[in-house]
Amino acid sequence: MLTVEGLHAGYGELPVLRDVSFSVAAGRIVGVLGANGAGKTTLMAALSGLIAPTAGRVMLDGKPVQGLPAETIVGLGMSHVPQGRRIFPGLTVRENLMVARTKATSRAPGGFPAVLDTIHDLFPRLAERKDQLGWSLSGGEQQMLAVARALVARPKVILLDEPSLGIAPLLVEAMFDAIQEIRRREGITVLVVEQNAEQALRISDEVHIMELGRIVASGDPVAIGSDPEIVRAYLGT
Amino acid sequence: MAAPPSNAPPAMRSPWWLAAALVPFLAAPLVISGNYHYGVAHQALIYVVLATGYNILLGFTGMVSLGHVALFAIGAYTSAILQTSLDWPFLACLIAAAVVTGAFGTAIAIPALRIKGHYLTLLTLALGEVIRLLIRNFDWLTHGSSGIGGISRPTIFGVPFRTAPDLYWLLLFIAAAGVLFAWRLERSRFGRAFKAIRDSEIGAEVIGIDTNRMKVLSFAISAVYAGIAGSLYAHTLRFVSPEFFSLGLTITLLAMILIGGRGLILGPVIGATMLTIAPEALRFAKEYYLIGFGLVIWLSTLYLPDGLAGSLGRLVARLRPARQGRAS
Repeated sequence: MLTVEGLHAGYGELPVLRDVSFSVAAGRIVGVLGANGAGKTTLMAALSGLIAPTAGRVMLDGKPVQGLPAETIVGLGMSHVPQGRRIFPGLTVRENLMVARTKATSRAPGGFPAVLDTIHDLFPRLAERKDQLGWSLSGGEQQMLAVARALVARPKVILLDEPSLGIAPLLVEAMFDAIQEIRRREGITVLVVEQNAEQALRISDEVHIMELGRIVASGDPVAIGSDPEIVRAYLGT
Repeated sequence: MAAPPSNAPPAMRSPWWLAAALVPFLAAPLVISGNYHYGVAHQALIYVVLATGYNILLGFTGMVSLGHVALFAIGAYTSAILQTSLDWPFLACLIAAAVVTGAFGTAIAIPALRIKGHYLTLLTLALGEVIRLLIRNFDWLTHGSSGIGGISRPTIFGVPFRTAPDLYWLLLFIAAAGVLFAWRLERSRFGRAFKAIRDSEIGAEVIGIDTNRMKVLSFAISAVYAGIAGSLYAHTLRFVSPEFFSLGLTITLLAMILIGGRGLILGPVIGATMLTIAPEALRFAKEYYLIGFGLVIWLSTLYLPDGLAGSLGRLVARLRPARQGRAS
């Protein structure tokens, strides 16, 4: 579904990603773990078109998408839930979702109302708060809204950047359960970047460890989580 | 720099507010009389149009441009020149002013796509001054600093709007149409996209909004308002000169939005009306009224962060706690 080959990216003169390659099969949840500054967020930005990669290829469902603008990549079926949520505080919850409608939303059976029903099923809190302005939501609710907003475009692949960051510990597990539920119900492929290794290892089918802009280890989450060398060197638990 | 989000209660979004706001304007001719009073009322309505358009850029999209008064000037001069030298009818002048100013607004938007925040504000400030200096120096076209006089009052398909009350109704009609369009725009996918860009540009990009296209559109729409307001100004005051379109007017326009309520439809209506009437009502205080003016701006940023319109909405929401949520 998503194949990344020899990806290089960075900001201006500063290279961050160096030769990153991996692939994500359809319907899988793949985790990317690593410390601060490992290049996880840059990887997400380079995949979704927020920044243009300097070299390499990104294939989405067999089509090259590297270097395309973000709005085109969303249209092709890959949605990005950025770090820090980036919801729209001055719009109501419902408007936050409405503004994210694309051609794919209206083409889907039932259109936007059907998508809205699915979202309210997954996150009943958002249905309760639909007429509240975004700024009045708690951190966890804002994160739910950010994920829901990405689902409006009916993505085939969803990129989640630190979904556990800045939300109440009680909600972290619920958030990861919701991610699994999204995959189960919608068959969406998930690439999730996390510092919370425990949760990411719990829900992922496969994980990659990043350090200094490179992937330094890959494999089955059980094997990675039980390898004392990797845990000590990269996961710090 | 994206403006901080408006946190006005959703209650302010009901169309009844628009109808209620229209009432004092409909009633005004019952209490005002004489050319002086009408002159102030005419200016207030013209500023409602200008400020409503500026609010689309500043309040909805969150882009702080200080070159907006230059667009107002382009609208006024387009209309003045076409009417005095080519003898075009009012309606043709108005449309031409809207089109020409809209085109200038779009041109200003293109550099604005590459720069953000304070740099954008500085660039627009410079562009605005350049346009004002060009107007002053293109003597053959604009009569330089002596200005253009003898512009006639509007006549539409043979119907004259020469008397002060007739002109008042024409201006009120156009201002109401402008406010209604802005209200409708706010509820459209474009309005929501503008606010999304204001609240989080990255958020807007990742959900598939073409932010460049939306920014250009926002500049263009607000420029069309400025062009229409400029044309109305030329045909109402019947005289335009470069001195009028100064930096002082830019600050007044900004204050109209901030005091009235940024990002709210009624904000610029209240702000423009108040800031047109207040200096006239405080004439007896001579220049000292500026002290009061400064104090009001200072106090309103402290105590009315979303302006008079926002505070009004909040007050009503508090009086009606049961109906706080917006029926959708």
